Amino acid sequence: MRTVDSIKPPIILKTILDILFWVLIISYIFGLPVIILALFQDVPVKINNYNVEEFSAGIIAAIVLSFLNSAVFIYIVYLFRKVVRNFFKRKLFTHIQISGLKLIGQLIIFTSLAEMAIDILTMLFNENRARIGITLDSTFDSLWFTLALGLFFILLSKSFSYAGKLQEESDLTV
Amino acid sequence: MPIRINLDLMLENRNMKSNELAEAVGITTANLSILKTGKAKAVRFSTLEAICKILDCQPGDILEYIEEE
Repeated sequence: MRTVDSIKPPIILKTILDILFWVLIISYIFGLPVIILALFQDVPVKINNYNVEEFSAGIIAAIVLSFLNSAVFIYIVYLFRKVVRNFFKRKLFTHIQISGLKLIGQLIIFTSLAEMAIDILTMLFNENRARIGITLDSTFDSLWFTLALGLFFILLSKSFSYAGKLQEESDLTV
Repeated sequence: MPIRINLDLMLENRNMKSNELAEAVGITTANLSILKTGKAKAVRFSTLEAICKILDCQPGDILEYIEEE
């Protein structure tokens, strides 16, 4: 069995998350003025694969929600980064890892459902119709896969919590 | 915890120090301290056996059950 000391710090994972986080932050900061400009100049924008040319109150609400959803996604990446960085302390089953994984899972589920709601909202206000159905994507864009991923993170958090208790018991066995 | 550890008393009766017992049993003084202060969640039979052998006593002399109020 591998001990805590023999677990190598996840350097590649940390680097990927660092790059992703800063690219997202920069695109978010630069994206805000572009969206405001598009609203005032009536420049067509694309929300969830829908070309929007007229900006009604509903569409503006969908844009704002979409932007807030992106902020939640950046926060997920930030939390993921924080959890991964915690592994560099060579400690397993810490409070940051347990609570971080749980929150990441909950937020992944939340953003997936929010994106679905934004999708319905955009279609409703842009095309004056709504569609609800079950679709199966064979890519990582799949809603089902994202929901499963969120639930997996929660399961991982529960496993870490259980393992932490076992480790504590083991440490207190003389 | 309703299980009391009477190691201090046993050591006093035998004029033995904690670190001497820890060394003889083969556990760290930190672990012996966990046992003495009642913070331990479990005691291995091998540890109990070694303590009983060194202190020449029975497990019941070290461990005592006290009913919680």
